[in-house]
Amino acid sequence: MDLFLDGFSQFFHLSNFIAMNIGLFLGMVFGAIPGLTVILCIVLFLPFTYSMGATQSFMFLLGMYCAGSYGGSISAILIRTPGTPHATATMLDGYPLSQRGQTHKALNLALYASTFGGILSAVALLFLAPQVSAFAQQIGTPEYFLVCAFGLTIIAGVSGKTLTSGIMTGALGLFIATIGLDPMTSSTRFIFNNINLYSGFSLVVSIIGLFALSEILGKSEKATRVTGSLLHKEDKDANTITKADYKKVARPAILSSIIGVIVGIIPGTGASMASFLSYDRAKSMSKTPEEFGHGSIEGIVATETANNAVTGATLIPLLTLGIPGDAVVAIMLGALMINGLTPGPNLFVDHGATMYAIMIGLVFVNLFMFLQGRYLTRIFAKVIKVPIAILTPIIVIFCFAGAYSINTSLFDIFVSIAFAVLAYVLNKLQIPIIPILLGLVLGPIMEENFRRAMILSDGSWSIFVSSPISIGLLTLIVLSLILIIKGKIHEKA
Amino acid sequence: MKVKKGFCTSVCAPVIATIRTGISGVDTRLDNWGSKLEQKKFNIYPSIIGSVLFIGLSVTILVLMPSQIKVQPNQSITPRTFPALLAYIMLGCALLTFGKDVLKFIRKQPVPKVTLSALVEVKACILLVLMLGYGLLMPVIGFIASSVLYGVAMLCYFRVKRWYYYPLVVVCAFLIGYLFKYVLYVRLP
Repeated sequence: MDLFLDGFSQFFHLSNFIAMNIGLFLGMVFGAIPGLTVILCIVLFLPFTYSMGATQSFMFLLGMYCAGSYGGSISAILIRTPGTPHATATMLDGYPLSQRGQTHKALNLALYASTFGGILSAVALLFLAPQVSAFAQQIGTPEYFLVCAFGLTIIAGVSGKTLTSGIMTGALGLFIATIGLDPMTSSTRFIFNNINLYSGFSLVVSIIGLFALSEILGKSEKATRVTGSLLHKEDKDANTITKADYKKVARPAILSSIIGVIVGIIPGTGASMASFLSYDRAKSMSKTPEEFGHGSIEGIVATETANNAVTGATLIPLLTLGIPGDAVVAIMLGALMINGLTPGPNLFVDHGATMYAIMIGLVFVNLFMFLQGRYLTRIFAKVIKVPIAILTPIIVIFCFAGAYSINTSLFDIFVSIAFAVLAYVLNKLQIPIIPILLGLVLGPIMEENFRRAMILSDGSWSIFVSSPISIGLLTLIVLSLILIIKGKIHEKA
Repeated sequence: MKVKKGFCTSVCAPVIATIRTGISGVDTRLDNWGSKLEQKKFNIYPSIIGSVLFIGLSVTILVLMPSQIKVQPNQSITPRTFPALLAYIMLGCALLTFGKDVLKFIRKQPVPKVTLSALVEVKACILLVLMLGYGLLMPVIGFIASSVLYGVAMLCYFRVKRWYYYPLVVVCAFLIGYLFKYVLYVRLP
């Protein structure tokens, strides 16, 4: 309870509210513009968090994360182009409703559903995270290595077309993280006598290359502007959400938020899976399934509740175990590390008040998202008309300034370009890049725990099956691998 | 004033017309090259190329490891242990993928192919060259000047014809430069 109150007082600062609202605004803009992603938004503005404290920077990033999830639905409803991948399910019903002149109703339903899902998810985080953390504190180095391996295996398994390609890139990310000075013995590793490589590759520089600059290389076609004629005229009378509407969407909203929370806790799953799963459930439970795909309000609510319910749930493994559930959260983990908060089971012990401040903050992030969405949606609707041709050079200028600012080194700019080329080539070869990011983030923790465990056991691998928790985790890894392989075979068939 | 306006019209109008004709000529030429390149498509086997790349990478890591990571003798767990383990994992997975595809070839089963367009790849190369040029120019002419040049070059690449986009990007370059310099206190080149 003391930690909760400390967290509350740590959170209630004007600077946190300002950071949160700027983050929300930016997140909605980036989410709304097709071609720009939430990851890109977070990567571009990550350098701004260096001068902020842990809570303030996390509020800024959480604002982008949550608002980006909702922002994707704006372009999905207005111009039939989902701003984010998980808004694809929203588009199925949002756009037909907009075509019928009920754009405002569709946007409002998406906003209400997103806020509901987000708040429920924040409450789940607030209650579940301390319980998981209490369990996490009982685990030792071999178990912690296995927890990291589990997270990486799942993400490697679900990210690529094949399990082997995911594992390969996950291992590549872990390998890149080993470059530089060895933290345990201080001997150099793969630095090729280059002084710039002594401290290894900066996580933020790698992320800028992998996710922002590689997107620019991918934009090798002329971008077009959205014309006004694509937007539909509104029928003012049909835009009110009635009591009957609320009654109709209550059940799918509750069910979808539960689905979103459960899916969000599992690493590697993400908002897209939650959206489609909820959409499918809502359709099968609906009294009017024939409306789905033709402007069903239940469809919009189900998908939007689910994809925002994921946001808080993905923070549960992140804050308690240091395992990021998806790429966006992995970048946020980087922000925690920049502020000296080492991810892992001790995070709640060492920085309990900050953790509570972040969790309480998530509730407010969703409330302010509602307010911004309510009053600024018209601006966001206009933002989608901004041509990508203008945004592309601005993004690169931002990226270069951000990459340079980390160590005030030009070398970092070329490192980010190298990572962009790597990501571009891997994309062409249909090899996933998200496991590289996870490898980069988890690399130092995994190696440290692996080596400590091996030193403790005098080089014997039996330490990884020496406790019931280890055996349980190994069984979980094997079971997940079997399920992933089975799923891939099923996909091919 | 009337005389001045008339003079301006008589001098500027032909210049603008010449520039316009020049731009449309370049546009037509680029369109012709583009349509020629667009027709050039090539197929690749992504899984085979990917696995060969990873085999090469992991073998290189293992070969270079003794020279790049010095260890003390008589230690079971060294700074080499973890990177070596990762290199073997990459090698194992890559060999497995490669073997699977070779087996498919022998059995005459379809191996997944990807069609690449020469136009898209050339465009990506141009974007890369522009980025590299931007990075190389930065220490020579400074962040803001190189950003302005890069911004204008990118708009030309996208063949943006609306004149007001150009000053907009230039203003943004200045704003970003000043933001990092005076708000974030980053000493940009």
